[in-house]
Amino acid sequence: MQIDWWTLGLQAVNFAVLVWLLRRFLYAPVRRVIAERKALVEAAQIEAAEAKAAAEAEAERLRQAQEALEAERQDVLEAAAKEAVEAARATAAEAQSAAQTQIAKAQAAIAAQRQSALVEAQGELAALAAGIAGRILQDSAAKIAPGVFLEGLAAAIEALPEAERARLAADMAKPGAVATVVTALPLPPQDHAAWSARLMPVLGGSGTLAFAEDAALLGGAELRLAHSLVKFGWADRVTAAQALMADGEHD
Amino acid sequence: MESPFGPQVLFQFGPVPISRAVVTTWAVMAALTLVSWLALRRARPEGGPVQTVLEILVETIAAQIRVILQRDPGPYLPLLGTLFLFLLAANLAPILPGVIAPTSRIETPAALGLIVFLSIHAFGLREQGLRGYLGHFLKPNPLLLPLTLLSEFTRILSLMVRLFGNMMSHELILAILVYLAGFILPVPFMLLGVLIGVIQAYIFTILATVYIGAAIGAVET
Repeated sequence: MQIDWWTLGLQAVNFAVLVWLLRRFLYAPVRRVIAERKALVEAAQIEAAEAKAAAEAEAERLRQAQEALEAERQDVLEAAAKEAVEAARATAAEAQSAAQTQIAKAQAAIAAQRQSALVEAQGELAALAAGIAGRILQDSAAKIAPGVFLEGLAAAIEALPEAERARLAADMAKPGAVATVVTALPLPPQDHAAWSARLMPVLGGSGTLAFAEDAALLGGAELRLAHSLVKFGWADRVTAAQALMADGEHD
Repeated sequence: MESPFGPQVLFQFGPVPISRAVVTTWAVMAALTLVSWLALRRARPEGGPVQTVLEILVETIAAQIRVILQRDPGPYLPLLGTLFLFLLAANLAPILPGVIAPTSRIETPAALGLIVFLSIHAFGLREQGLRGYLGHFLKPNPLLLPLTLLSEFTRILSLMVRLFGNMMSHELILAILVYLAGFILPVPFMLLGVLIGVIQAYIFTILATVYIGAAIGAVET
């Protein structure tokens, strides 16, 4: 085997030249492109990191805003709850007051109605009692001698105050003065003289007596003059008793 | 009669004989340079498919160098990458009809071995300095210095002869088969030649990288 040293040298030079050529046209462009790509990736990573940081900051800001809103919402809810409690309390107090007022009004109305009913019942009862008493007295009056009424009327005149008796006497002293004796049942004519004899001295004066009847008196007698009235009738007593019963002051 | 494995001079350039291996090498150089220039003359980060293939190829070679040398492959990539790409193209050149592999002639492996030999010491001196680089010949034992120095030459010689022997023997086998069995039978052996060419390019480059790694103190040999 022989070695061609020229060829060996040429191949060595060729390889050295190829190293230079590929360094210029292959390795340098590839490494440059890779460096550019790496720079792009790093820039993209930096941009992504910045975007991530911005997003995290935004998320943090939103979280804080949400917390603030939540706190504000809680405050509003608490205030509303307090206000609602106060309003409910005020409404309850107002309702209670109104209810008490209504109750008081109702109680007053009930009491008034009760009193009214009581008064009405008392009045009806008094009227009923007066009616019953009137009928009893009217029946009794027929069984009592008129002289009893005469004495009673005379006693009533005598019991009048002096001024009243003086005024009676003055009325009887006038010319043509007539004093009317009213009874529930008509007096028998034969009793008129006895009544005149008994009453005229008590009345005094020079007048005369007239006699009349009024069933409304029930019993007893009245003496009626122009300006005076002397009562000894049972109807007045019954009426007074009825008034007392109706007023409830009888007890 | 000229040996079929001789330089096969095609023409004379003055006193310099231009052999087939040199012309083939020029063609390989032109092809590699042209492809690189065409694919990367407007290289952009979002490149085309050819640019992407070249990037993957270069990055793969750089990754292999980084794995072996345990450091930035930048200073070593032009030499070792070019070594692999040239050997790959040169070994696969016989696929084209009438083309011989430049590596099947002793001058080309010898030239590559010489360049690797010089590069080993250049990188070693630059990385470790004169004292440090010379000191590594005394390790592990100064008594082994003669053997160590001898191995500096023999390993390059084995590197060169391994490449030359494989490529030359493959070419010889193909020639014998064509002579004996015509043109059909050698086809499987031609496919085997592709495998041999790729493996030899890889082995030559890896061993050169290991030797450089040993010189710069990155690899224990």
